Amino acid sequence: MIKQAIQQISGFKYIIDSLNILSSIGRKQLLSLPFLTEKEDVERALAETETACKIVNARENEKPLSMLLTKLMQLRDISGTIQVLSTENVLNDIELFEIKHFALLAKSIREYVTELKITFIDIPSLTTVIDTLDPEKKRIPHFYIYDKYSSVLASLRTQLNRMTANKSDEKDIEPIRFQAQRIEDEVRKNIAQQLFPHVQALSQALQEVARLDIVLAKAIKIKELGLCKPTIGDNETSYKGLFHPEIKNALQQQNKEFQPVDISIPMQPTVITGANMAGKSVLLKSVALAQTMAQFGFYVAAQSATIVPVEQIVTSAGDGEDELQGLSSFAAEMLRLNTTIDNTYKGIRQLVLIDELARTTNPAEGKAIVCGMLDFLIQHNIQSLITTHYSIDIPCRKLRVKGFTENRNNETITISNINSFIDYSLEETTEKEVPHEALKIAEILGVDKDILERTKKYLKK
Amino acid sequence: MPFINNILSHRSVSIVGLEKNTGKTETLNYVLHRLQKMDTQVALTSIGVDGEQTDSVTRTPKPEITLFEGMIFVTSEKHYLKRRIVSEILNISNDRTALGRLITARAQSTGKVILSGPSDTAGVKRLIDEMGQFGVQTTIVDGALSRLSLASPAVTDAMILATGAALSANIPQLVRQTRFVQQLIQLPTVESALAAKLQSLNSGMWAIDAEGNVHDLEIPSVFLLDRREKDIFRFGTRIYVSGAVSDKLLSFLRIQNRNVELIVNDFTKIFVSQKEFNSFLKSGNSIKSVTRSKLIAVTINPLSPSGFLLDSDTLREEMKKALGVEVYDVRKMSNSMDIQ
Repeated sequence: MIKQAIQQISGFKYIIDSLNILSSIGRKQLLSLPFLTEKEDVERALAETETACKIVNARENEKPLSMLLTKLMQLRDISGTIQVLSTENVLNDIELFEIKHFALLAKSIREYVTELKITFIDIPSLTTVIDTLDPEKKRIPHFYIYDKYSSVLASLRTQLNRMTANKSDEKDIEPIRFQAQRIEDEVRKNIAQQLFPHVQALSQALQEVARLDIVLAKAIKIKELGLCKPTIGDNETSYKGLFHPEIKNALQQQNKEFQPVDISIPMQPTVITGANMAGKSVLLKSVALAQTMAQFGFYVAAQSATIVPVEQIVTSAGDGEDELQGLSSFAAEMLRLNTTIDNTYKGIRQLVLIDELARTTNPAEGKAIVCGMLDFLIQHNIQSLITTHYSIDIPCRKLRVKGFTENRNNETITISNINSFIDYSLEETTEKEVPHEALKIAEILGVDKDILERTKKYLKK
Repeated sequence: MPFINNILSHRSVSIVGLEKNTGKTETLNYVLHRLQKMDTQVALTSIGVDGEQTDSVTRTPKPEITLFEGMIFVTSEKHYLKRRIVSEILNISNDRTALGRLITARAQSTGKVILSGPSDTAGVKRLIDEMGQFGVQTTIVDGALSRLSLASPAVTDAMILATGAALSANIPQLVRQTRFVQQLIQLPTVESALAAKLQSLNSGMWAIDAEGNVHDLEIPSVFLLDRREKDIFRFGTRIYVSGAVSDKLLSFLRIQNRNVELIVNDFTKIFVSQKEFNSFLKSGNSIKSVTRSKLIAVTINPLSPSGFLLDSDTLREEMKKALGVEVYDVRKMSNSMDIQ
């Protein structure tokens, strides 16, 4: 469910929060959207999003669309009232008003849906519901127990009005009022009986308008964030111009640019190396985010993308400390490896994204852990990305972040402009050795010279 | 009666009782009775202590108000379902009160309802604005004056005060007390740009500097004032107090001898004795308010709950002379209702 994904996937909350969902029922449904794991389901959801995008972006739709959005804004969540009705309870005037208000709104939304040719939204006709609650056929969303419901009630009311006007004794008025109230109750009971067969239709209408609200909000956001529709594939996930919207936005506010990256992730492990600050963690986060978005039926943050749906995205960042459970960062990380291994034995399709495995322990054992894990992943052909600073000599697919570029104009590199001297793009490599740029970066970051000198001495040894 | 026209010339009017049994409900019922003959759309709501079902002071049930066909009223879900009137629901608000959401409805017959409305000032304001969509010309608010209430009747454009022997059984004293309330209601207001800034501040004490900038004095409660006396004037002597103003605060500010301009949100925030109020002003200080209302009439109930009856004509005369607004006797008003 989306609720968990919001907590686990970096940058996904940013996307969800940026959606302008207009109704409370839409917001409620959004939070329980399922994570789609089957190819057909993801494709259908994406196709709906695509249709919505075309509708939202067509200029001639501007007016009916804005009318439709206004209607969505007026929606109330009447699921509680539908629930009351579904148990064959008699509804009070407030609940009847809610149903009438909703039914009229759903009818008008349905008309706009037809006009805009939003074919995948199926709001059932609620004409019988409306007729039941609108005996005077005024089609305005007001409600009371109308005189039309019962001629006896009408005449009792007339009598009551006359008595009040003539200032009759309250003792004489009270029995008449009581009679009128009993007939009103009778009418409410009849109405509930007439409405009961439509519980299903009302419920479906409510779900469908909520779905409409969400898909339109998605479509509107897609253009703004520059997202693309991914192709759903079987063999390889790949991105051209992959980016992370939240980080991109944060950089933009500091007048910096986010450099999009191209990457392919075949159904086997890939080791990613690169200097510190070369964007390895952001890369993994972007991959996790894009995969998540696609499987919730969103477009993804890239120029183009092909995605293989999985049943689970397993992410592990070395700094995921779990103090509350009394685990060190190392312990928490080791336990997370078990998830991947369990999934493998259960045959669960997974995308494994591990950032700097075993970096918090000694290099000798750390490196061995990486190799051991890698060995397992290779044997089982697990689609995975593993970043590391260790030199790995197991033969497997390796990518390297290009990292520092030449300082052509001999500019002064500082913390604030360092990003512009890094090339974040990836290249295939067969080298066993990892880049040794840690000291260079520490120097740029302004670490004390004394320490640097001492460090260099040790390095030479 | 002329004051009915006066009511209809305002977008919102609250009716406020200065004490229990001063005839607020009679006044309200009288006004509604008169308004039924008018050709204008009115709406009615109430503000009170949130969640109050029975009167929190006297423990008596909240009175039912008689409404006439065509009138619009706003009340909570709970009280709506208890109504004794045929009425058509027009809208349900998204705001929640302790008694449920607020229902807007139109009376289809003459009948009785218990009114309960928004629990905070912003809610009352919003409600008055929303009434426009139903063609309402004037919204009448059954107001409460209470330290416990978050909603203030001062948000209405105009106000009717119900006063009487229940407040004081001595005519000069009753007139003086009512006159004092009028003085508070009609405090001079601050400039509108500043008012907009101050309106959003819900707690604490604030200073306004010469450029009109608002600074938090970081005094969590006026009761902790003494310890901060030195820096309270660091931004100048214009001070805004968002909460209640007590005698203690006024006398504290007065002895600083700095010609303070004290700003309050509205008159309902002032809980001070007349004596302290006067000496505060006499020592060269001033008090202004962010919102102010206009007193358009006073109704009197010469009968006290203990059975003491004041002379209606004398009281009315004296009151009118002191306040300069129309004064009506609620008991005579109810009699005139029966004749019609």
